[in-house]
Amino acid sequence: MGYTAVKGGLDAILAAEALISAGDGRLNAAQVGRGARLLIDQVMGEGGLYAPELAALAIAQAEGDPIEAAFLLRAYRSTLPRIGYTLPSDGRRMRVLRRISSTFKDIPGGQVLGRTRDYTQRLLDVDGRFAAKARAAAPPATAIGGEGWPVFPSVVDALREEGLVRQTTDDPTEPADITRDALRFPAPRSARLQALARGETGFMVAIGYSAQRGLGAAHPTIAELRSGELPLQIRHPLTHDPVVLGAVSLVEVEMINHTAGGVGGATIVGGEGESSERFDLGYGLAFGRNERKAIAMSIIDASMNIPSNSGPAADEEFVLSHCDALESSGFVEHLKLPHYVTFQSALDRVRFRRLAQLSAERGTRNAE
Amino acid sequence: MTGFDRNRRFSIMAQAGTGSDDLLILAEQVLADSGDAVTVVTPPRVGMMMLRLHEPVNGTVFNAGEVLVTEAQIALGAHQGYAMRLGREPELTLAAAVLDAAVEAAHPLTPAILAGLATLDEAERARQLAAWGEVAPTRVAFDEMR
Repeated sequence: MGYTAVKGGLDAILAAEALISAGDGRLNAAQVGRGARLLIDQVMGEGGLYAPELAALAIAQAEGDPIEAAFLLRAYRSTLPRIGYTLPSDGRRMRVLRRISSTFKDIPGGQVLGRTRDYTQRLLDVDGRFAAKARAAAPPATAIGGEGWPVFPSVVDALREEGLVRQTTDDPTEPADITRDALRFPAPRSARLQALARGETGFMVAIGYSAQRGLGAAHPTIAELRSGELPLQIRHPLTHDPVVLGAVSLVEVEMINHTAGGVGGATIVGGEGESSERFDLGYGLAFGRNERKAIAMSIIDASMNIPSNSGPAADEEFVLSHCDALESSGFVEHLKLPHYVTFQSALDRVRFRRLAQLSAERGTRNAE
Repeated sequence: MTGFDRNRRFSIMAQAGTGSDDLLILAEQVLADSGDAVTVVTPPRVGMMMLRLHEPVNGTVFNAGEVLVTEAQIALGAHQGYAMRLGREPELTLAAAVLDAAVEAAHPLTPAILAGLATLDEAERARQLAAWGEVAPTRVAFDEMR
């Protein structure tokens, strides 16, 4: 096998693509939209673009491969102009469809399970009877008055009022934008959160899990997980007033690190003559209902927020450099493409060294 | 007749879901009446708005991801009309911009437009109430174990 420059293969490539395009029984975007909403949420998050209909189309086109679908979405995104920015929204203004806490039983507004299968058995519905059974077992629907959507005060704000968690500050700094400027380390908090928000779900969960297993000092508990519709506001270009554009579906998690005292517990703060303890927090966000990712993100953020912490989840440069689905899968999968010249070069070097070694050994024997 | 101000009109038309086809019908009527007085300032264009959020840990504002939108702007004589909607919605967005300008210009169809907006506003309220009503039975009532 000597080195040969090659070209061609176009007919084979076209035939290979035709095998996919001609696939029988493929789902269409409408079917994906109706039946795979959680997959749509994942793809929108990893693609960095909230566009449920386009994400459904991408999933159908990618035969259900979420990373390929995110790739399609992000490629489409690159063709679009950025018209502007929303006014900063606050999750406390969310119209809540699900809201739970694992730190407090009684929280202001109460716990709302929403649409979830978290508390039921994982059994495969082989005979197709579960849906009917669940409907039969559900309590009758509640009659709703005209008072509108209830308000759910933040759990963390109650702790903040006691001085048990850090006060928030109004930071006038323009947020970083990793889609325009490359990440630099240490990253500003805005860049960290943006990178994690479009991170790959599996990677984020694995890193979050590593922190839970003890690689680092985090011991996280969910202060509040809330999902629902978050109204977005923009500044009207003609009136210059804030106006509601619509709402997007989001899940937010506020994670509290609860081990008491020392590294990974409450952070000890205060100047001379005073000392108090505050709990460290982490924040997670994902489009739609990708709770797994939002929880993992909040663990990672909490790990990075703990002073003097260690472990993979606390290593900002490691996590942020490897969490993007397109970068990681692209680099791994590019190995399928021809590397003939690269490998031939390595082969030539090894062959040359072997010949040189053999020649040297013969020279030594002849001398003896 | 309900007197929605311009900001409110924008929001109702941006969020209109069920029944939003009425916007198309009304806009076509305005265009049919207006002839050359209508100029398209910005044809419907699909683009993105970067979603900015206040995170609750430190209060940092960050760019959470982009949201697909469509915007359009027209002029009806001396009156401008602007609209934006989530998603790829060129026809509805253009219609909303036309109706915005029509109300600004006190077009004869203004009462019908405002009545249509009132219906859409009510439909959105009903949708929100129904969405909450669907999950309200999942509110947890804990029993103390003694």
